[in-house]
Amino acid sequence: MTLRDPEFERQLRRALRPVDPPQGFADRVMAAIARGASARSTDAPARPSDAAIRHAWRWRAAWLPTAASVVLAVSAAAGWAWHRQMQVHQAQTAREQVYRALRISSETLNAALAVAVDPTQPG
Amino acid sequence: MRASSFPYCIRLLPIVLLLATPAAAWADAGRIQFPNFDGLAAKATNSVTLSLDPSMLKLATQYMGDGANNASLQAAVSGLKGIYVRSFQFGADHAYPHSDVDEVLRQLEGPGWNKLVSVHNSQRHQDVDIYLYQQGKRVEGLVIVAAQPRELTVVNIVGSMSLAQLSQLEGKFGVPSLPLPQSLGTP
Repeated sequence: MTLRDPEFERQLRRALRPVDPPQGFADRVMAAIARGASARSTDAPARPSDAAIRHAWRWRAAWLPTAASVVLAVSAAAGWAWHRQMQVHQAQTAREQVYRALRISSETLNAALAVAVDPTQPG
Repeated sequence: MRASSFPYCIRLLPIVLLLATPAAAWADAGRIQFPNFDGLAAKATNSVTLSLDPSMLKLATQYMGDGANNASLQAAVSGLKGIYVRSFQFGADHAYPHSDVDEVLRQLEGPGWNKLVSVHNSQRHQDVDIYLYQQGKRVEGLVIVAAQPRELTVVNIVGSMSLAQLSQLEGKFGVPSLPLPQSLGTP
């Protein structure tokens, strides 16, 4: 197909001929643009001001060390409590062993001395 | 290599070792070396092996509440350096070699050990020996060897605990009554 084809050339010219917009088209377009702009301005979040950002950072800066201290204190207290609990448990175990050792020592002494005092007694 | 090139602490090491050796020996005064009772424990129907060193004894007296019982235990244990117990019960007579008993008794022939009680009943095959280790007038160790046909018990209490202190624990913590004359218990 070439531009020398008169039929094609005629169709092309007809398709590309200038056409005037309908009556009031420009006004309707401008009104639609205005409506869209106002809708966007109400939907979009407002950009925080620099003062608000500074305030938020100051707030965060003030609370971060406090929160970190609280977390550290709670962790230290929990660790100390666990350590103490373990020590108490170990002490209890050691104490039971001491009781047992003393009981066996005492029973053996008891039997030995009973026989020493009266050899006819059963050991 | 010149002596001065050694670090100061290394040059002092022989002196420290010389001083530490008698100190270590003194620390173990009143303690005996138990024979290897592993074989007996395997044969025994019931066995008790307790080794309470100073750190365990110290730990045992920690976190104790107030009270007369705890006070008497604390007083009894405070002078101790160790309690070592080996006790075996067997299902048959003479299940343990007497050489183990002899090995213990041989150690008690050394200086410082005094035989307090010795009971040998040949009819019931019952031998009981109680030895005290004394340094001057202080009792620093006690050994009880009780050998019966089906039971062998060796107790070694190291430290300054008198029999009177042990008798103070009567009726507490399951310690039975002791027929102790008070003069016996005085260190």
